[in-house]
Amino acid sequence: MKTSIKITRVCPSATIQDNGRFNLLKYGVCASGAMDKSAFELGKISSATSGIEITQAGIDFVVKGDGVKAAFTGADFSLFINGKNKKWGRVYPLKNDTKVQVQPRTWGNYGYIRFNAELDVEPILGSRSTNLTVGLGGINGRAIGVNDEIGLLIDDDTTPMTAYEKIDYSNNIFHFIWGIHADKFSQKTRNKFVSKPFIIRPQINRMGHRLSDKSNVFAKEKILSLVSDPLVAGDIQILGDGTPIVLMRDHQPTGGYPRIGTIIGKDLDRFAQKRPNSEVFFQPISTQRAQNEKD
Amino acid sequence: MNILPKIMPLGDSAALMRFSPMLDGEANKRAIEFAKFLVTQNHPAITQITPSLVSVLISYDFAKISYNNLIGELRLVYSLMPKIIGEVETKIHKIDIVFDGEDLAEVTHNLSLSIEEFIELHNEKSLRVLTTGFAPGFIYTGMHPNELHLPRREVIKPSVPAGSVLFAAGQTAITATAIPTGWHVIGNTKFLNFNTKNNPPTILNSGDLISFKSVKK
Repeated sequence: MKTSIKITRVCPSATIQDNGRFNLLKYGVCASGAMDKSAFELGKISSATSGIEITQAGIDFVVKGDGVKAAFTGADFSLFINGKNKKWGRVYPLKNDTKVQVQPRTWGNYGYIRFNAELDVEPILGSRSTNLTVGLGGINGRAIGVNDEIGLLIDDDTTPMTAYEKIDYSNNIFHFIWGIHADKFSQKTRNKFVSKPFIIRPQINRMGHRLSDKSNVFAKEKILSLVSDPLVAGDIQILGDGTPIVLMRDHQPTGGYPRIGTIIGKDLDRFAQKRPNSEVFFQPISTQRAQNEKD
Repeated sequence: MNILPKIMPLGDSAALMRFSPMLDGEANKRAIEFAKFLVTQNHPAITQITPSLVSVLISYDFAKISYNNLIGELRLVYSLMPKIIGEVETKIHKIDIVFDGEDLAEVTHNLSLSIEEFIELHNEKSLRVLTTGFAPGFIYTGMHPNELHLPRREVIKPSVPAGSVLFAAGQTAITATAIPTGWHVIGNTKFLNFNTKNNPPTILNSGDLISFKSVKK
């Protein structure tokens, strides 16, 4: 019998993701993939590579067909299975007609639901990841909607979930490597950038997380006509009106706004989980130290 | 001219090799050629090579090579690169354009040319694909002669469809997906440089030559 899940309620911008779409930046396609890669990886319980990424408001679904196992990881959510409150961050077997409800809780932006099954959508350019900006991958390039029925291709060779070690998400200091345009900013601006707090704005999405610059660190900076260079996730760009934006997994492939720095890979997952109105600080790190440091 | 590129870290997993701080024809060629040459080296730690207007992004696995060692190897590869450009055969593509864009009249007026004169000058010589990658399948071609140089528009159009032929800053660009743009729309083409059924998904590459032809709708 075919197994599937039927979506009965869903947050905005819930998407199918995997580890991303690689080696396509020169064709104008960024990698996409889970916003919090470490949390996504924790939920891997079979050889299946894809999973569902949800945002704060969560998701409800019903399981149809044969049983399946599901791992719940990422930001903090309340989980109800057939109405019974269950601990988040665990693997549960789900039988035919099981109702699953995932509701917002204390912290974080992105949660993950992975099954011992591949989500039955066609890989596009080698990946099932959804790129909402371009409309590629996942379910016809769009977000998951109510009444969607997503097929599950069960992988019988299940591995247990690694002990759900909680990654420490509380730290609000993020390490960055000085960027390709750091020298275009005055010494004063750079000093302020590494000492003043920034606030995550409500406008966050898979393309980028915008910051409020309450201390006016970039208010007086006017940097014009830079030639476009390729972008990477974690780049901290300063827009024309002085708004800093941290580029995330669905970033534009190239850009000409000045980049003061790039958040290191290890810290970007934690940054993705900082909710709007959180205070964050940036701390420079040398490339050498960033590459040698263990967790 | 011997161009000495600047190498900078871009985060902990990429390096940017920049051949000029501004748009420059020689630096553009050098960046494209270097990216092609680097691909042929099959470096085990390099995961992605992305040429851009005057730079090349080199993504790598720092578990396999440190940034400092990578810089050394990139400089070595650059020194081994043939100094004479053009050993690789350049592809020439023909693209048909319907010159009927909503900004064409304004463009020709600002250039003090008739539409016929503009089309003739625009198509006169083959243009090079300067870079790709701004959006899926999007290409920039250049450079036009000086009498065809016009700045961008002041107001950004929220969306132009795939196949739009855009014009500004001495260049002609072609969209392959719907995008916002600050460029002038001078026409459209049926040529679509992006197809997810193919891998690679595009036909045109940086450095290719494009010959434009004016066709009726």
